[in-house]
Amino acid sequence: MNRSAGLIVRFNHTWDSGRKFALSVDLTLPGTGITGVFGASGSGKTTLLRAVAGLQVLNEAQIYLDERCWQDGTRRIPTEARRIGYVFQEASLFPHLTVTENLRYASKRAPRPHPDEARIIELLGLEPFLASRPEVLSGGEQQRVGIARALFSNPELLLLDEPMASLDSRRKAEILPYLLKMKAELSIPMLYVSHSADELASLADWLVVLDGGSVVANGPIEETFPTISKAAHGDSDIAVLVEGKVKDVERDWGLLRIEFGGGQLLTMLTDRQIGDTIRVRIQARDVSISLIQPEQTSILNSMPAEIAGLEESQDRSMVLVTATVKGLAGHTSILASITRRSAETLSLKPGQSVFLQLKSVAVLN
Amino acid sequence: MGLSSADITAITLTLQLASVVTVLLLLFGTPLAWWLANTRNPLKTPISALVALPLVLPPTVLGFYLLIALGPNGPLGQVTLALGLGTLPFTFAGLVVGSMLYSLPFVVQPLQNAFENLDKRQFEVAATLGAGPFDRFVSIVMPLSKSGFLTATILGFAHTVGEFGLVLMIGGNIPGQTRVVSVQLYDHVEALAFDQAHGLSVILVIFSFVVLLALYGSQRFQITPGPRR
Repeated sequence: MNRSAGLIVRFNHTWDSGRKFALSVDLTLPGTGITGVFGASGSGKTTLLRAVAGLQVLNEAQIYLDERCWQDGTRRIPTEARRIGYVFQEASLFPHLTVTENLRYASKRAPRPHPDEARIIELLGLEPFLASRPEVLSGGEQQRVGIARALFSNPELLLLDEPMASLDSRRKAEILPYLLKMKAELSIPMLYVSHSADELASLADWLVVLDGGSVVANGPIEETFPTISKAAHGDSDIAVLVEGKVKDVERDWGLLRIEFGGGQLLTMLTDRQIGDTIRVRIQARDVSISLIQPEQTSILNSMPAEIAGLEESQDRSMVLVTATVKGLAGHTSILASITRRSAETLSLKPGQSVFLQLKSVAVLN
Repeated sequence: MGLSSADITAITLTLQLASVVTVLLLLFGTPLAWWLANTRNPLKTPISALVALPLVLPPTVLGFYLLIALGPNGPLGQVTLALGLGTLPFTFAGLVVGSMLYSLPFVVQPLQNAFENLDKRQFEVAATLGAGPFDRFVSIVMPLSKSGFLTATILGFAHTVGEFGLVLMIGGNIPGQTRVVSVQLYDHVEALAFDQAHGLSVILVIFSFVVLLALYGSQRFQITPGPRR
């Protein structure tokens, strides 16, 4: 049995309650940061999460977190003995307890209380309604309490099952900053299930993609994101994520200069300091290709790159070009979606040196 | 219309019987109701029907069979004799056993309803927060089923107070041991002592009304359940 650090989940299980469903996974996931689990509904992502929590009983499985065994073969420990926190789609607060009592329910049963309970309350902005009953809170507020309650049990792994799915888009926008703050401040690893590529683009460091009960992609988000942006929106919206550091704040221009593995980018100014880590999304349809260095253009971002591959779209009208931007600090792949006509006019081929022009760059977090 | 000392004895005995039966029924009925609310066992249907049987059966039928079963030649009577407990008919203990069967559905059904209406997600949440099965029952199920427990207690108690046929069958009419209020009332009427019969009847009418008032009042102010999925 391999017991390296991280979360190990291996099982093959078939459910047969009316409709047959098989889920087969063999995953070794990082024990830090946020691991996103992406899939359409019915792909098995929630079942995977419930299996890790022990809420879904598996006859046979291997589930390990670091050196701890949660199930090996048929020997399994029950949910209440696993050091997990679970955030459900609906906050599911205990209706007979106040917010404080809900939190205390968790801390009382934790082997050790979380060392920084006050900070969790502050991070999630719960002070104003600590004494309230759950029923008077909005959906977003309830979910924040649900997240805090899961953290109060001082878990070694936080499992989140589409915590924003039951909220409207305004409430979603309200929760996301809290999750980002948590990620930055608390060192707890998280498994985050979502069918929203946008949510995962902002949050996840690692990505597992499930389809019809099997794993179709598993790796760092920079490598796996194009798969899910394509799965979510189709070819036309395929995108890459680029993570970099803020190099310069050009306040006069209202711009931010970002340095990433291979080059630099300018984006709209956001509330960032020099040195902050920042993640941007570049959509393939916003990237164009030129054989000569573009001059006298309004486009801010252009950079030399080398073509790594070309792939025709299904209707053969478009070509998806993978180009590598190389620099002293590393290299980054960027996708460009261009017409097949342009690709042939420029006679693009792998290994060729070109210039990429980025029409727009979206800052994610 | 005053109460005689025999009336007082009958009232005290009735309250004692109803209290003992209610406590024992809550103790044994709760696991049974929990099982019925959660099992997928095919035995659920016949057992539910058995539990509900006293609702439709004339109490005298139940009393008759209990009398036979608990008697010196009945199977249960043999067991109690072998255990050195004597036979149960015409004793307080016998009344307790009979009343428990008779009032069983009045305790089990409200509890089962309450358990079935609970949001199962709440137990899963409690488990992920480190609560084991017993802890979950005490900290989540009991408070969320409070109105179910209240209804079961009130109905179980009140129904035991009101029984007659079964008591007469297996309890007989022994003052201070098995002569409960309803039997005492019957005696008064037999003896044409209508004044005394009025005294007991008024008390029973007021008692029943107050019980139902408490029951409906408690249901109006029950805890609002959590959001349903």
